[in-house]
Amino acid sequence: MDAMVETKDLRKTFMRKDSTPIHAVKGVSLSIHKGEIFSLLGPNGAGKTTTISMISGLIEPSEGDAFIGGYSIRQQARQAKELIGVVPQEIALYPELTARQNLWFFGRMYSLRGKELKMRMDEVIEFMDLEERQHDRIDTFSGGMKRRVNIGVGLLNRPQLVYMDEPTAGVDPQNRRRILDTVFRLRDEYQMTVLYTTHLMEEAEELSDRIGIIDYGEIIALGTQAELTERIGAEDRLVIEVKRPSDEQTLLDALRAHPQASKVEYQVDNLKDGDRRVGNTVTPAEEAVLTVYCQNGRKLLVEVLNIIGQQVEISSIEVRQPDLEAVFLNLTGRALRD
Amino acid sequence: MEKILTIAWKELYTVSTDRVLLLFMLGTPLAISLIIGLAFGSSGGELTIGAISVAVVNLDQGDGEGNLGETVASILLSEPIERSNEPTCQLSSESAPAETRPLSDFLNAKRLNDPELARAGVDEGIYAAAVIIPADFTSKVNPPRDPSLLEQTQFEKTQVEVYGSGASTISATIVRSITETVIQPFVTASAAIRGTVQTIFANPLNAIKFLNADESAFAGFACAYNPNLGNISLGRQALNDVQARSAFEQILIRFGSAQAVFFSLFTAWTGVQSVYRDRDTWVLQRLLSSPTSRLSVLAGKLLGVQWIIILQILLLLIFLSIIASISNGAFTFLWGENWLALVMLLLSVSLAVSGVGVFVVGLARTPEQATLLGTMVNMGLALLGGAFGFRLGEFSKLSLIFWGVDGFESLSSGDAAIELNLLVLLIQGLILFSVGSWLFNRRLQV
Repeated sequence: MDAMVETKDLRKTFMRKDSTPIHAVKGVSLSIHKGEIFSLLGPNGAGKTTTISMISGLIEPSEGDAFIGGYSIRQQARQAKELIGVVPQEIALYPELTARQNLWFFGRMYSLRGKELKMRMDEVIEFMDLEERQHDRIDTFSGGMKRRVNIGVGLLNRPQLVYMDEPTAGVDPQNRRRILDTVFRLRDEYQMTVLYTTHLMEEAEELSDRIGIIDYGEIIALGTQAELTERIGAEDRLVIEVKRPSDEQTLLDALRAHPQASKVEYQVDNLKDGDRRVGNTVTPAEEAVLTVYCQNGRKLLVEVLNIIGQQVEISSIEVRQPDLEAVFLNLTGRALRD
Repeated sequence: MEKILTIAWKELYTVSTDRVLLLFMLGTPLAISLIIGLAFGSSGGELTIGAISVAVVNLDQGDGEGNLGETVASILLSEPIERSNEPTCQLSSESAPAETRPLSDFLNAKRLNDPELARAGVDEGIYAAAVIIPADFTSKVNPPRDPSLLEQTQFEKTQVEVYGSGASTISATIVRSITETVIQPFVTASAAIRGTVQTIFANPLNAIKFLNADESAFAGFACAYNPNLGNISLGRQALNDVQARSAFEQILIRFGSAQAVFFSLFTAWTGVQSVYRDRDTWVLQRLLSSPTSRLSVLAGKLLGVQWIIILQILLLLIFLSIIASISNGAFTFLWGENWLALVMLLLSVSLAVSGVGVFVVGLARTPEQATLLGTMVNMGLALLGGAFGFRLGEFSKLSLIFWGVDGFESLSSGDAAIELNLLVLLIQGLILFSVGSWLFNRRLQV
């Protein structure tokens, strides 16, 4: 498959005032295929933005190189930049200009002019559903509207690669859904390659064809979600909320005896209605959570229900497949949001 | 180049749509100039200043029977006017309206005999101005006693010199205004007496009575020259023979142009500093991620600031002329007729101003430092250059405001010899702009 982006041992070192180095990116090598949505996932400060800033030509790599559509970002920066559309996390627009004036201004920065510029502006305005407000100043827009213009500016030059840095940050659910749908449309309708950074694993899971996980300036895992979870050998989880049984031990023994259950956890103290102390009286919690670890949660579900259904009343039941959070936890020993 | 022009246009457009900024850039300097102009350049202003030191030199030789120059000098020196054969015309406050103030409140006048000494005193800052009354003052103002000469003698103009100090602009302007006021009654009275005598001699019977009259009968005419018959007020007097510009216009020219340059200094560094805002909102990063070079982005920004400064100063100069026109009731362009020199000066001042702005922002490590440094530098230049109404002698030449205002004044008075002003401003502007751009480019990290 053709590579839209290829980085080779990309490194960035910043110097502190006392001349001690900070290695923000430590040799990132990756390949992003044409027409895919690639998410770079990592906690804040992991090196996502620095990596992307180097790929988009904003900052010079200390070592290594990045190639956009075959053009070196170091040697052929202008050609490489013409292929990129940038959608920063911040609303990188002039608030005192209208939406259309912003599009005109940034279009000119891509050397667009005349009829072509007008056509591109109309195209973007229609695509981002901005027709009614196109002549209004940006500082009169809602947060969601600003986000849409922000994305629209990044699409003006019909880029082959769109870089989107956490575009749903601070956006309400309705606009968030709209933005995610836009990302799909860019790939499916316009065959654009999307490089998406986020710290929200749900977004990465939903959007991405492939995911790169970055931590402390290094890519620690890269592949499809299935590949990543398979790689760490994570299991499905059956999470069952029950009315607290009178004979807890018998229930747990029965579950642990099942050959496909690798581990069973039982929790009462973390529940919202866990044991409550009022004065000297302790009121026992009325509910508990059973978590059964197994290779195929859906397959085991019926058998588990048969075992516990005879003994306790079930409040809810859910099969949870291994997610990126689990992958990150497994790889780094800490949660993604830590 | 198109990208640079687009960025510059955007800067200009942004400023033009910001009403608050426009008010600061244009409204404030105009308001200050107008207030100062009205206070010190028109009759409506109440002065709350201390006495101004003035040297008075009376060179008037008189005409054998009187010395009107001495009367003018006495008024300026706040001395009683006494003549041996004429009634004493006291400068009493009784004849003046209650709200007027004695002249000694305004002037600390000293009599000198040598005009060169007086001018040197002004140059050294001892006096704010010197009033030099010419030797032929009386002979030109006084109508001849001999009726036969009335028809032959032309009504000649007087030439009283008010030598002002560049370091005390407003004080000098006030002295000139007072002097104009004092002289005006002499001119008026001279014309009135001339008319009266001509009327008398139109009737032969009256002529006989006039020629046989006792000398004391003419004594009353002496007091006709006493300015106390009118009010001594600090008003604008259109005496073209003394000065080409009124006091109000002079203040608009000097103080107004100084305010224009002073306020454009704020525009300069705040304009350049807006790059930091663009960086914080990631607009700068977005620009640099496009196929637009860093140099183009910075050049566009600085060009935009340059345009804004040129327009700001130009508009202020136009508005000042409009104010003068309204005041005079006729079109009055304050800045001379040498358009080429005016444009050159405008461009040179703008370059020097934007040079200071770029230099200040380039020198500062943070936007906050730039704000502090910019304010201090601007105030310093204003203080030195006379934007606060006074100059600090030779030190004024360290300020671009001095060179700009001096150039505008020269053009205003019809003097196109502003080569030195242009040279100083251009060199200063080019150096500061170049060094500032280099520093700024180094400091600006995305």
